[in-house]
Amino acid sequence: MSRITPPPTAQNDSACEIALVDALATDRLGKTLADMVGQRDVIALWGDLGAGKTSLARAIIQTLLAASGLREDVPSPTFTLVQTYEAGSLPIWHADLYRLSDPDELIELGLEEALEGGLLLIEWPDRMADELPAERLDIELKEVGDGRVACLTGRGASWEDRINRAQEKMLQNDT
Amino acid sequence: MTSLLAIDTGQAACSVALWRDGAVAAHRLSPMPKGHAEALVPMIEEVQAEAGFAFEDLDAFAVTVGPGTFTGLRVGLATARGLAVAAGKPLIGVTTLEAIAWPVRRETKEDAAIVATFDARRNEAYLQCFAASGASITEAALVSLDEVATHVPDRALICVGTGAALVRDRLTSHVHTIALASAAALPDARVVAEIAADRPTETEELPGPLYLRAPDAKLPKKPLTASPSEPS
Amino acid sequence: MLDQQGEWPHGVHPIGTERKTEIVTSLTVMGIETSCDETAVAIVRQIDGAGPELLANEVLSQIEDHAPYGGVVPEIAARSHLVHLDGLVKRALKSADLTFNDLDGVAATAGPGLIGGVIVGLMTAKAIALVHRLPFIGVNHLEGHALTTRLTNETPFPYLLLLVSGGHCQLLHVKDLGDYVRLGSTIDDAVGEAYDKTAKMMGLPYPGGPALEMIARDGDPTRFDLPRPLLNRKDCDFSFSGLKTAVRKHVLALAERDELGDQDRADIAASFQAAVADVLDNRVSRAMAKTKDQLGEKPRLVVAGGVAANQALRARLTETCETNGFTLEVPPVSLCTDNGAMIAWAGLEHLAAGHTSPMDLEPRARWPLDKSTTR
Repeated sequence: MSRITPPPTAQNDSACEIALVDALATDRLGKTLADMVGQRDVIALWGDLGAGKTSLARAIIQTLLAASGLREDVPSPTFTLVQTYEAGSLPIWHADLYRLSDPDELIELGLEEALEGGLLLIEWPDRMADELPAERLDIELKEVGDGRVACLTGRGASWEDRINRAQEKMLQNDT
Repeated sequence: MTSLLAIDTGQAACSVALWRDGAVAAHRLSPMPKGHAEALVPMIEEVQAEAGFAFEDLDAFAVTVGPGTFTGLRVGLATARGLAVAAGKPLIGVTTLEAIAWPVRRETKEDAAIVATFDARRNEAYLQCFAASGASITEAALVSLDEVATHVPDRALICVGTGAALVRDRLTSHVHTIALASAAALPDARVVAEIAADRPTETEELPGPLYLRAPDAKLPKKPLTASPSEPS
Repeated sequence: MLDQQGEWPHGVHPIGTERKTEIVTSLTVMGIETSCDETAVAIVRQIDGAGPELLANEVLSQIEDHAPYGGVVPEIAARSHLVHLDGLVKRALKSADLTFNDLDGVAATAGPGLIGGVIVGLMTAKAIALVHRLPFIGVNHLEGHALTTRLTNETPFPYLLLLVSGGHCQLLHVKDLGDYVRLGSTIDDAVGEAYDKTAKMMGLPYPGGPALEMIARDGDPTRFDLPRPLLNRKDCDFSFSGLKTAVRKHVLALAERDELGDQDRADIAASFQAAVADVLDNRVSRAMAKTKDQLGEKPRLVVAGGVAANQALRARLTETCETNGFTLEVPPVSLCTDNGAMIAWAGLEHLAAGHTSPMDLEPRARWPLDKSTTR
């Protein structure tokens, strides 16, 4: 059974909800997050098929690439399981674990290497089970009416401040 | 065997050696965590230029078959199998563990055993044991560090490889001495050539990879069908 | 070159010794393709003044190995390529009745694709080239698809190319060998991927594309109102992700009421396919308008990639061509899906133009066609 929701918020986690009225809002959230992530950050993208996980990941990746003067296609990684990018000195790993069913299968995908010095974006993170790093940003994408909502949960102290900044920035943009 | 070309890309190094008339005639080795696919063939060309041989005059090729990084093994084996098929010569497979154990014979007492081991991460190690003569005592295996004690013989040990210290530290109740070898922790085509030179060749069957780990996907426990039926 | 069924007529192109004495030059190239789930080796030959010949075309499909996983598993694919490729090389030589000495070059896919498989093919080709002192050519997989029509239909440059497969969806202006201008591409899912994911949502077996096409034949394409993304955009980009999301909503709604029956699935499949056809028609028409005056007196649209095997989409693109005054050219289905012939042919074209690759060429997981081809 695939789990499409992150674990409940625990003590010391910081959380917020951001409404994404349209595709442009998803792009904006991607850009906002791209400005505050770097080496050894893990972003877990939760949500069902078609919830917009790849779109958000694409916005983050393309913003980071653009900052290094690069423009590249960011195809869905469903087919290859993992796609890697280099934004200047930052390696970006974009993984889609939908087709995996056991954490043992992850070894040769090289995600351990990603954790050592890259930014790791994971779709279907439930497939990692206990291997999912404890310190991470969970983003759950849900459909609400005609739009979407992104629920951000920062796990670990390093995310608290960043989540607050992301929320502020998105609110500013709304007005 | 009079002459053979050996290659290794199984671990964090890339090496090529030409063996001729009982000695290494030319040799290259570069440590590298990745980039084997780019480096290997130019390295063979360098060895060829230095030793001056024609592929049709070789008796065989030799390659490390694993355990090692999946990418490294693919680079080495695809190249070696391609060379063997193109030249119509036999290919001899040597394990990476044999290759690191072989040079340790010189520093091993007769009644001791050699433990060749690579760090396989995730609290595991690739491990194979050899007698002081270099003959293998156990098969190459992927073992949990917690169970290392059950995989080594009850005698003095000398450990070699990237997992040597890890394994030694887990053998706290071993009653005999445990030493760390001074030999190199990574395989070298020079050694692979020397081991292969004494091996019989089977011309028909080409050696395959020794992964020791299953591929990175297992059969789903239930069919991966629609998620729509699941609560969202 | 081809008979009316689009298949290679057996024995039509004998390599006559008579003809051989007259000719000035001939090139024979082996091509290796291992970038996805087909291990493939082929040999093509071109003799000056004559059409190209396909001397061997060996393909070993791994589809059955991957079916239980609902998609290609990269590690399983790479392992399979490694143990089968050298045997396939021998088989190709045998079926062409050639030896390595008859080759003038060895080509292999150097990317884009699943990196483990690409490595196996690339290293095998380098090894063969090294032993026999042959030129080695690292080919872009997409370029292989783009040039296949020149092997099978002898299509002259320039032409408009729609490349649609499981991993790719793009429109290219193919100006000359190595000169490709991308007019548009998918901003999210490829067409084949959209088919596979939609099929999966409805519980159809893998591979989903052909299964979906099959049930769509009995469906009502007007029952579900699905979006046609990007139709109003002035560029030639595609988007299929929103279509997938819309299908999911309908599937969910029906499944919740426990009403998702075979006819519903057929209707969804037909509606989905109609939407894809509309999108392709619209985007291709726009690309035609943009390039028509640069494509000569007889402008051609070439369709390549596995999705070209889809009869419904093909029929629609035939209409698109008629409306816009284009001629449609599609290689035979066996050469639209991944194969070694397209790599051998692209290698031969580059070799004839004097292009070869260095032995330190890197395998590449991503390699856009319009940025660089053979170095």
